Amino acid sequence: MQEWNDNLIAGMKSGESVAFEQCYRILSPIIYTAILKICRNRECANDLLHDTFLDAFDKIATFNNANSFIAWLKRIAFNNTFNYLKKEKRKFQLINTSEDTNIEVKTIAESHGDNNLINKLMASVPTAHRVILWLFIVEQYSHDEIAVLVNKSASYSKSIVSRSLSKLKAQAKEMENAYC
Amino acid sequence: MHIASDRLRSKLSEIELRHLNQCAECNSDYQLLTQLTDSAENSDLINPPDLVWQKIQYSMANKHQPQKTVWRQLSVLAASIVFAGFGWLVVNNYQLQSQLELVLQVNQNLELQLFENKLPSYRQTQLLNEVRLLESRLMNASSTKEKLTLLKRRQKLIADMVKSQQGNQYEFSI
Repeated sequence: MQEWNDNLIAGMKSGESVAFEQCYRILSPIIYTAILKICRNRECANDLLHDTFLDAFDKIATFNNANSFIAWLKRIAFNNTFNYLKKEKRKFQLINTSEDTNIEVKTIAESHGDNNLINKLMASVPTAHRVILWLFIVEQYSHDEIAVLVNKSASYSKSIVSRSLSKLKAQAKEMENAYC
Repeated sequence: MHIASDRLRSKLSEIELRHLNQCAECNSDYQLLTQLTDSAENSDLINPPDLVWQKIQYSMANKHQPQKTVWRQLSVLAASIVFAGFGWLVVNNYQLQSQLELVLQVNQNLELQLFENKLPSYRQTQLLNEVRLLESRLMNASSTKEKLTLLKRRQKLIADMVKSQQGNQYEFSI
C-alpha cells in the first residue's frame, strides 16, 4: 500500500494528475469510512466523497503547508457532510427508516467490548447527532470546534454527547438485566 | 461536580483521577468514551468503489476546459447574428422590390393618360425631355434605391404633364 508523503502536495499544487490519484488512493478510505459511518448510506457517501476530493483539488493552491493535509481534507469532508445532511434532513429520515442500510446493527450487549460499539452508537442516534458524536469521539474535536462547524453553541454539542452516552449506558443496563 | 466530557478524552490530572475513583458516573462515562475511541480506532477502513475516482477524473477534466464552452457559445452567437442579418437583408430587398413595382405601375398609368393628348404644348415637350433624360439615367442606375428615387421623380414629372394637359379649372377651350 502506498504511503503519504508531503511531496504529493507539491505535485498536486503543480497540477500533476499522478499526485492527485495517489492522494485519492491513500486518503479516500479514511474519508469514506468517516462519511459512511455518519450518513449510513452508500450512495450519499459516494457523492460526498466525490465532492470532498473535488473541492480539495480545486482549492489545493490555498492549502497552507504548515497544517496537516488530512485534517484540512477532513474539515472539508465534514463541512460537506453537515451541509448535505442539513439540506436532505427530510429525505434522510425516510432513508433511515427504510431497510436499505448497509451497516450491520448488533445489540448493545454484543457491541460492548467489541469494535462495533461505535457503529452501535451511530445507529442509535438521529442523523444530525451523528456528526457531532463522530467529531467528538473519533476525531477528538473540542466542543468549541464542533460548535463552529455545526453553527450551534458549545453547550448544544455537550448536551448531545452527554445524552447519547447516557442513552447507550441505559440500553446496556437494560440488556444486562434482561440476560440476568 | 463532574468532569467535563472534553477532559475525559485527554490525560487526566491527579485531582481528576481521584474524582474518577470516587464518582461512579464520571467513571462509567470515562470507561465508555475509552471503549468508543478504541472501537473506532480498531474499525476496519472501508474502500470506496472505483466509480467515485472515475467520476472525480471526469469532473476535473470538464472543469479544466471552460474555454471550449465559451468558444462554442461565441460561435453560436456569431451564427445567430449572421442568420438574423441575412434575414433582414432578404426582407428589406423584398420591400424595395414591391415599392419599385408599384411606382412602375403608376408610371405606366400616367404615360397612358399622356398619350391621349396628340398635340403637346411647349411646357409638355419640356417635361417630356426631362422624362427622357431621367429614363436614360434610369438605364445606367445600378442600385435599387437610386432606381426608386429616379422613378419617383419621373412619376412626378409625368403627373405634372398630365396636369398641364388637363389645364386649370378656370380655363376653358374655345
